[in-house]
Amino acid sequence: MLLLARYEFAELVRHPAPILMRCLTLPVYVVALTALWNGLRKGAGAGDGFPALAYFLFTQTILDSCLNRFGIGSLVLGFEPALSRPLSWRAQGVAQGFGRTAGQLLVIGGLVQVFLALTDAAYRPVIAGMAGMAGMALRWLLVLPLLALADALATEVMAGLYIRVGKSDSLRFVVTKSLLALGGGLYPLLGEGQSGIGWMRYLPFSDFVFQPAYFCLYGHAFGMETGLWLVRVACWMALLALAAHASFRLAWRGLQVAGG
Amino acid sequence: MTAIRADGLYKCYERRNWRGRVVESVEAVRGISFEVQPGEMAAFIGANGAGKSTTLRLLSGVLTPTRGEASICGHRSGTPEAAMRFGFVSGNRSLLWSHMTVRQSLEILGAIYGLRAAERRERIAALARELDVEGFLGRRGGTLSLGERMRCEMAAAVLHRPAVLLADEPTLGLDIPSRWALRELLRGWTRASGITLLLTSHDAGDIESLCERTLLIAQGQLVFDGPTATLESQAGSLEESLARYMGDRR
Repeated sequence: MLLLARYEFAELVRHPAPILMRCLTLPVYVVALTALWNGLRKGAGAGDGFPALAYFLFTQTILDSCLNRFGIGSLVLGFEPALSRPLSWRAQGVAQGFGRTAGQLLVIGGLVQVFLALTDAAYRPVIAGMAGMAGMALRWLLVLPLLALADALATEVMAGLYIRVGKSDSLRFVVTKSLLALGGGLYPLLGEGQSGIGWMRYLPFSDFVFQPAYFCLYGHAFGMETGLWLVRVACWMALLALAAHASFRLAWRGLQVAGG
Repeated sequence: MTAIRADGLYKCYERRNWRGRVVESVEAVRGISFEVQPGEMAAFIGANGAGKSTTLRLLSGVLTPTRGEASICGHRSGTPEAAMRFGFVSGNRSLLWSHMTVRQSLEILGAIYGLRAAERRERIAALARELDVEGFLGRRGGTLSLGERMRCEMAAAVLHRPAVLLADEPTLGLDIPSRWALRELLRGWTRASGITLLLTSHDAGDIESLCERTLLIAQGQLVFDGPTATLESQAGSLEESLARYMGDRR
């Protein structure tokens, strides 16, 4: 299992070209988003200080690594062969998904650090100097395994559903767009006193997108103790693991009843 | 101990509506029983939809039977003990990870089957020599031609030294030279290793060159179980004999 995760991870880190191709438009998109955000903030009369560019880079990196189509497809293809092996499909899936997402987060996260180093004026209010940069990179490495594990479990849920119903793209669309809308983007408004969206903080999306990005920037969670955020993440992970198990049982039953 | 045993295997597929009611049921396999002894090389053949692949999936533990029991080397199919004792090679499904090198795929499979690192390396090197895939070890699974891939699939299937090899149409889609080469490889290697082979194929040439025994399935039932030579002698050739059997039972 560890070997599978290691090879998936190494493949992505050694051959990052496909990821880099996908990320070509990321800086343009994020710079545009930051400009839009800063414009809105000025319009609302809010104060400066929030490192919007860095925040959007981190959240976009997380969103971009989430529920990868290739990852889901690979698990779907590997379903039947895995059933005839002594190691379960679920264990193989978690290892494969973890390795792939961790590799992707490491590659894109590394590029984000380089990009931020080149455009430091945009985030200087919070992260000053090389020590700040190093701290941010270290915190990214700390949240990376959590994000990779969560994505591996979510990918298993999607793959199981795909095997059962023949497609899961619509559901994938709903989940990724919910992550985008409810887990990031609007969230910095909370720090600007817009309490109307405070309920978002209690959704799992914020724990897996907004809070990790915020933690990387500031070194603590937003609006709660960092320990409490980690407990919440552990709870969501447990629920995801249960959902992945249920999804596997659904897929397995579907195969037994309909023959695949 | 019997290498492969099917005892009254029965498998029924169902299609249900949104209320969960069965709207259609298909009896894919209807009470099949047979045994294959260690070292035997048997063909398991039939027309499309006759139940060959379902039987193989029942034997490999991918499917559970509605009734009856399947076992490999005395262990019930679907258990880890049974999984350790057979290898599965298929022309339809790849055991290799397409985005990884063949060596990486073999290493992962070796680890899944509990081989230690040194043993894995040694086994991969030996198999690469025997199956002539040394040149493909550094290439990604997705970049191999079908003929090259099937040789690597063979290595993947027998990496953990199984007692039984289940081969589901291993020559499917191969051109004549590749088919011939794979057949030769299977014949030489299985005889040398003493592995038990259960092969499904639509190619009479595969059966003639590899299997002394043939099991013929039609509409989910076993209709012939005997020496391949007997089938050959019933008509002018094995192909003609098989066509008659299958045509009669459609």
